[in-house]
Amino acid sequence: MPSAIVLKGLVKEFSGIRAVDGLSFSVERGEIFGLVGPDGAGKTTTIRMLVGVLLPTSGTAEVAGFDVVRQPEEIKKRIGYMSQKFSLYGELSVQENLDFFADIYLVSGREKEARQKRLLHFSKLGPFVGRQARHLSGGMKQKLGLSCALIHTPEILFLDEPTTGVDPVSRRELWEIVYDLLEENVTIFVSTPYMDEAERCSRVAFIHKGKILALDDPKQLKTTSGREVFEVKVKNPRQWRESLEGLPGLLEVEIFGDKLHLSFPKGGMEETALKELLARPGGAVESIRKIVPSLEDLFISLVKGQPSGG
Amino acid sequence: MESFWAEAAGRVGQVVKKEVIQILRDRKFLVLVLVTPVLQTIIFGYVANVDVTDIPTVVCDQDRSRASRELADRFLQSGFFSRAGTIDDPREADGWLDGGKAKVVLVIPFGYSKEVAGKKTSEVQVLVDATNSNVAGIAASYASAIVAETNVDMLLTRLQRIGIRAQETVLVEPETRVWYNPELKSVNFMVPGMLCVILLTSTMNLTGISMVREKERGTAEQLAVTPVRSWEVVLAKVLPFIGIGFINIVFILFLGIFWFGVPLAGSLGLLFALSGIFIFTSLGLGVLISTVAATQQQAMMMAQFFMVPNMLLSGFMFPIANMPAAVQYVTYLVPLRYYVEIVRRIFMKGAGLPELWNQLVPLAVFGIVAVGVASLRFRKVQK
Repeated sequence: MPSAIVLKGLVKEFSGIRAVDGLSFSVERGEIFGLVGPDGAGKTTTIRMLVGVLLPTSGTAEVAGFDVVRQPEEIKKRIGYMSQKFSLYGELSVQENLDFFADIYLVSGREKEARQKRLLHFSKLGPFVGRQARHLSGGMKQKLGLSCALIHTPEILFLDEPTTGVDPVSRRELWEIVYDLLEENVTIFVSTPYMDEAERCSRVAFIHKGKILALDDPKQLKTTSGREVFEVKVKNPRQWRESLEGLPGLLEVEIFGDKLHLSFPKGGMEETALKELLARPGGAVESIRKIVPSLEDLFISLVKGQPSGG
Repeated sequence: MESFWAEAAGRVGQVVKKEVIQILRDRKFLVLVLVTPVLQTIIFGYVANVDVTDIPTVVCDQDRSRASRELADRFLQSGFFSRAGTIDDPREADGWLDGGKAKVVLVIPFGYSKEVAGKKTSEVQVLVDATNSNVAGIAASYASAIVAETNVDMLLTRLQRIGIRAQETVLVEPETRVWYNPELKSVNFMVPGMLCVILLTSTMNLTGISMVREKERGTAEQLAVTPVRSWEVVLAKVLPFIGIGFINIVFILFLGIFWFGVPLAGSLGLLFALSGIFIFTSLGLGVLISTVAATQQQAMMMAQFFMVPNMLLSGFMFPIANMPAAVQYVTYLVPLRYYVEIVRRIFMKGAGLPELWNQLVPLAVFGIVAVGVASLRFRKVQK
């Protein structure tokens, strides 16, 4: 079976500025793929090209085996898409929105009924079917959006920052729905600025300024990051940070609460050696331990490793 | 092929249904759409009265003779002038005109009757307040007409005295018959025009706004990722507004015919049919606006920008024949012009299709171009 999504040198320019700068990767069927990066990195632009509402400047992309430029209508039958912004009809009730999208996708009869029943159960929106969508809470709106995007049982689901501005409980529920979909063998392509959500993906691509910085499964990314991170607990982390500059081989220091994360190149520092080095300035170090770098550590270091202004 | 059209019709039907629910749930919008045209028609029917009668007139009769009284009476009994007051000194005229208490002052000088009897030319002064040049012009021409009539009568009397009878005098007398609007009531002319303007506003503005609202709310993008085709969306968005356009026509016609007593000389069916073509044109323009505007405010401004030339150059208020030649050519670019002409001809002249072809064709061409360009511009995929 061919890959669900294939990008080859995909580029999008807006008045000369490259929002998406030559993306090439593929997403396999049945996986949950995360496009992770800060605001303005090019996530939404990439998704909009893949769902066929934005023309690429150059490069190609295939979704479900169809070309996004030449066969967008074939793609549209097979995908679901939930944009970052709530984009259902506020004046229509939950039920009317579900009916509308079912009918637009020509889902009818018993299938429509069964599908709606299941989605209402999934989303726990059952008690609110009569409520106008504009009067729903943020989390419920998002779940309704997801339900509408799933009404026609798509092969591939595109979620653009589905949890931005959603409360933690609804966020968890959304992810539960997403995992259930994976069991139905739906391919999921999700964009997010949150690193904790990146951890939930089977593979992630870090995107920054329209370019991919790294792409792998989250565990692999962390172990092959080519660096070692030590967590140092101290009394006064801010003062410590300054005094640490100039430590041999030190790549960077980040403050996390009362702890410092010190990054070194792989094999560039031993725990015992670091202990000795830090023991000198006054013995205020409470503990030192080597930790697995978080995706956030990794992302920040990758961004810093980029040529500035590029 | 059959299933292609069945599927398309199904989707169009769903979008129409959604649109109707949205319109019905948006109370303010509904009031705006249905009540505003009615109010506009009522206000316009009363306000847009350009008939000039009973012009308040001050008479300054310095001669105080039988002849001078006769002249004053000719003015006051014509129906065009009514007495607002009487003054003795012509210098008081300023006060009346400045204060707006009178629009016309008639000054008959000392010796009027003597001069007239003595076969000399006498000068009667008519002062007109020309703040409103339209009214002033009409008042001045009424005054000239009354004076001319007096002259003819005096001439005839004199001829009679020297033995020539009136029947033998050779005079050209115009015999004017007023056709199409025999009572010369401006409401008969304004209400059909109003119908056109209101229809343009309600259909063009509202479609424009409704389409842009989908863009603003992101629902246009959500629709764009579904299998709905662009033309299906355009068609479905436009259909409810055709309905609204016809509801407006019914309301305005009802008010015009039963409230203002405007006679409908032509066929109601034809009026509806040709209005359908105008609505199509106007909706096309609305969709066109929506493909350019990014926000509802922009759409409103653009519609406004389009409305003004339509109002001024359509002949709705100002007769096209009175415009400078160059401007008259520009009016051919204003779609409302053709529709105003069609509606007035049907209403007032009882025109049928054969007399209206020359208006109908350019109107339809406008519509086809507008809808065509709009559909090309309304794409689901952005560049």
